[in-house]
Amino acid sequence: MSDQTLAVARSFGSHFVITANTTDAGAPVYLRPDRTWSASLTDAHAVGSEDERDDLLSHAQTQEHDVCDPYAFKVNVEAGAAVATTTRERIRSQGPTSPLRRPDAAQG
Amino acid sequence: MYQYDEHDQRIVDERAAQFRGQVQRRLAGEITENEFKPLRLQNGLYMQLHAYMLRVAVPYGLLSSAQLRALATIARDYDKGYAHFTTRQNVQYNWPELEDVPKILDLLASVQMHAIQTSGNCIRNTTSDPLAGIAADELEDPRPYCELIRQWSTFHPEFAFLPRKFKIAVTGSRTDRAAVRIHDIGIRIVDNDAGERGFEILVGGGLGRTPHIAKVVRDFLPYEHLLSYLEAVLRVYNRYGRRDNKYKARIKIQVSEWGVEKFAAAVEEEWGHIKDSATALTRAEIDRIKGRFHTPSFEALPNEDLDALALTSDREFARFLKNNLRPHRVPGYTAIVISTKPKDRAPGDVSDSQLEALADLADRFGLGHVVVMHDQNVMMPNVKQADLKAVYAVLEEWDLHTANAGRVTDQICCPGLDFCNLANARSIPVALRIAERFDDQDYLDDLGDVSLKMSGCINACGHHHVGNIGILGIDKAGVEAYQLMLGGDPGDEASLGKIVGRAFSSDEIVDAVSTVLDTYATQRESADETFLDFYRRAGLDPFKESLYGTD
Ligand code: SF4
Repeated sequence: MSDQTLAVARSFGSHFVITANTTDAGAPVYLRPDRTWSASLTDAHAVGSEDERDDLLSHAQTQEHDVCDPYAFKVNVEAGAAVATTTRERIRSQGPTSPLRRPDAAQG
Repeated sequence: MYQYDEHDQRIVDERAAQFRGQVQRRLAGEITENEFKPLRLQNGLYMQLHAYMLRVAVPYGLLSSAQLRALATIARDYDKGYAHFTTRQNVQYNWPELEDVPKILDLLASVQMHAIQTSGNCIRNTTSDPLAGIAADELEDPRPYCELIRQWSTFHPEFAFLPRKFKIAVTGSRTDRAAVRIHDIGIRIVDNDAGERGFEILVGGGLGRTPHIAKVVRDFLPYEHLLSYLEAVLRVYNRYGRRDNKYKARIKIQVSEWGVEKFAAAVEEEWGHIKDSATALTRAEIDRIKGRFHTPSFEALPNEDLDALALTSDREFARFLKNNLRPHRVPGYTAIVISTKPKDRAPGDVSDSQLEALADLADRFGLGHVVVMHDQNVMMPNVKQADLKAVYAVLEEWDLHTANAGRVTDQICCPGLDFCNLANARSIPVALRIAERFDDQDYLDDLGDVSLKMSGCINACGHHHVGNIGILGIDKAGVEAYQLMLGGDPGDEASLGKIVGRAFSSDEIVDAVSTVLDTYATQRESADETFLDFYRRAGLDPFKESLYGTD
């Protein structure tokens, strides 16, 4: 059990998932039911109670070699998968909504 | 262009080597993220929504062609092929992997660049006038003083943990193009009545949650006391600035709570103890720094007839000549604003190949360097007027020829919720929709210069308070919304924008901007009355009326 304060983001929804950013690339990842990390929010283990949330989060905080600053946020569950309820977490899970700079217009 | 001496070089080389070891220990699990975070932040490495973000310092915005090529290599080899110019004249990379960052820092060090003090509660990159060194109304080139401040503030042990970050801007011209009134310290080079050279010192400006216009704390500071006086200001701030609440920790709050007289008196008292200390500048030291700037040599050239050139050129080039040139003090030369804001690109983003094209252009036509502007464009400061056609042809080839400098689509826009961990709302998609909506260049030219500045949260990296039109992204119960403010300006008569009324939804905000522009276009007294003049004469009422009617 980590001695850090458990971090829970301001959010809304029926369930909680645990997320962090990877140490190597900074990419967002989500804790699966088997307690490994997935790049996909739909793989996340969505739990309904605060006790389960805190248990998962405490585990995540022992993984700080692989990931940075884990926290919990609320989601809804649709067709068995976690769905983000805030624009922030939706963009974080799906990537920027504006086109990236490449390719150059001049290069077609 | 300042050339590093062996001390400058050793500092950046050693810092890169030091960070390599810290990264290795983090990747090996020997240090935790909590231990690593302050170390990475001291090297400009943030964690954003999707990846790390590395902020590279570009002192006073000046970049050589060799530096541009290194930035291009970093973009191509260690990022997704592009870099982003910021409102602090810096460069950001949005996608570096941790193990590559030491390689990036080595590459930067090899071209006399670094990421030191681009984050954290320390003295950040000193910014300046993009026309520094070439403006006709300039008393003296401010960049050697910026460089002195850079050297004095780099790793200054007393100011590594200030209450909050600290930003300084210097201008040497009568007209302020460096936004000195919205900085923690703004410095204007001035002459006193006796004809002696010195500085006017303004303190306590800033945007963010509580915007303030800086106040003059000393109207004339003899040049030799620049560093000791800055040290006194920083000491008073460091000792008495608030550390209990990060939203009240900037020096602007201290100046505002104390009043400028009390603050100035405290600085004078502190300064009295140190003014003749080792920080006193001599002319020889200033000349030494100036000597490390490569001063371009200009040819004796006649001025070209640019009006005649415009008349005989195609419409787009003629428009470019009208909108994107800035005057140069040397006859036969001009500065060019290269807009990073074509209609389908995020403001400030440039690709690796565009960076290389800029480097080639600088070598062929620009005496070897460019300047990153605080409005996220790039300036080529030293172009022969006779070369304009050839330069434009290359810019056109690389989609860098957009003739919108100063127009409403020349928007400042922060990364917002597409990238930034602190954001409340997206800004880039709104900027793209604005660019799409207002793509009639004749309409934009008819409106004249209108600045539009947008931030994705109250931190105001997009300077929305000082846009003629300012847009602030907010979070309304999990939904993005946008506050519109009008009448801001960062210049000599600096003013903060006022909120017009209730916020707009994402779907409404572009229509709202359109309504604002139409209100101005139809109600101005004449084509000579600028947007800002109209606002200052008529106030918010005509805009409120057209935006909200009587509701
Ligand atoms: S203004 Fe806010 S959203 Fe925009 S870059 Fe700054 S912190 Fe991020």
